[in-house]
Amino acid sequence: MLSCRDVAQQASDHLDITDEPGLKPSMQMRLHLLLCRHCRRFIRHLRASRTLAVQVQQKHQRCEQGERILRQVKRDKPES
Amino acid sequence: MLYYPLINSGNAWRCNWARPRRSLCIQWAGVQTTQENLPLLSTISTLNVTPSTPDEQLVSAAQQGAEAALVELINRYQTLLLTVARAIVGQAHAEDTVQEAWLSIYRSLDRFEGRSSFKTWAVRIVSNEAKTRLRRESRTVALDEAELERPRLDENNFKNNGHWAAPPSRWHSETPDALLEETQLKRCIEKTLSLLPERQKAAFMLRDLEQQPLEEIADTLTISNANVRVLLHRARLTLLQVVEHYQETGQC
Ligand SMILES: [Zn+2]
Repeated sequence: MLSCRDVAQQASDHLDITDEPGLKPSMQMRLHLLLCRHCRRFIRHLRASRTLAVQVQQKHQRCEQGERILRQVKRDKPES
Repeated sequence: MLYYPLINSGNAWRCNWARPRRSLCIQWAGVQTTQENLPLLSTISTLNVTPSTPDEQLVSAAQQGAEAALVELINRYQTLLLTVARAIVGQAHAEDTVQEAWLSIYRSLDRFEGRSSFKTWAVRIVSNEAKTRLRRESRTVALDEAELERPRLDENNFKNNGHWAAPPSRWHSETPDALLEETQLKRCIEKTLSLLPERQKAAFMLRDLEQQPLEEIADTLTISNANVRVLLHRARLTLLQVVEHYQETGQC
């Protein structure tokens, strides 16, 4: 039987497993989550904070340096 | 707004980034596609470069010499490539490495056939540039090896029998949309993301933003699959703790 400590330790892997259409959590994991609301909440929180972080990062993903970088690429190494 | 003609790739008259005919492409850049050069082309359409133009359209326009399309691709992926480079060669040489990668991309864009996405291809190029640089200069980067070992969870959270001693507390709101409304929380997350160790940041971006397979991330960062999982575990738990702490205190 998995303990709550084990589940918390595997929680991040659990996200990757449940993200993958071809993969399924182990029987032990499913059984524990079925019976334990604390661990269900822990995993829900882990997933929610990941989604939040992804959305925050996405807003900062774009940089407006493209023109400068392209200019430098062309200046540094002229066509050979 | 920049418009430029798109020629279908079957056309014998193709502009190449790195070849002399490029001057002709430049002549086309801009709205005016004159009646004169129309007969050269079998198909013409105009592409309006915006932040939502799909990568594939940008790539084929860039292959035909449209600089605005390449600029847009750089704007989109510079941050990602920098993060990957930092995770391999370290902060000090990351900028140079990415610059080299863009040069490589610029030169080989013609040969890119779209078997993978442009993003995947670009990440692979920057990863190769970074690995080559490490080898060439036989540089060792001061990366934290302990970071790759699975951390022990805080034992105070659990009883001896492995049950929660302090179960996860209820949050005021759990949905990402509601969490996104909290300006202060967003700032806390921004700060945490900017302070994440390079490899954790790269693992987080490649997996959680870009949804790359674990094997590919391991290959990009030259670490094992298990190492990638540990980096993700660390990054995600750190982010969780920030939200947890914010729920309790309203602060970072
Ligand atoms: Zn449990």
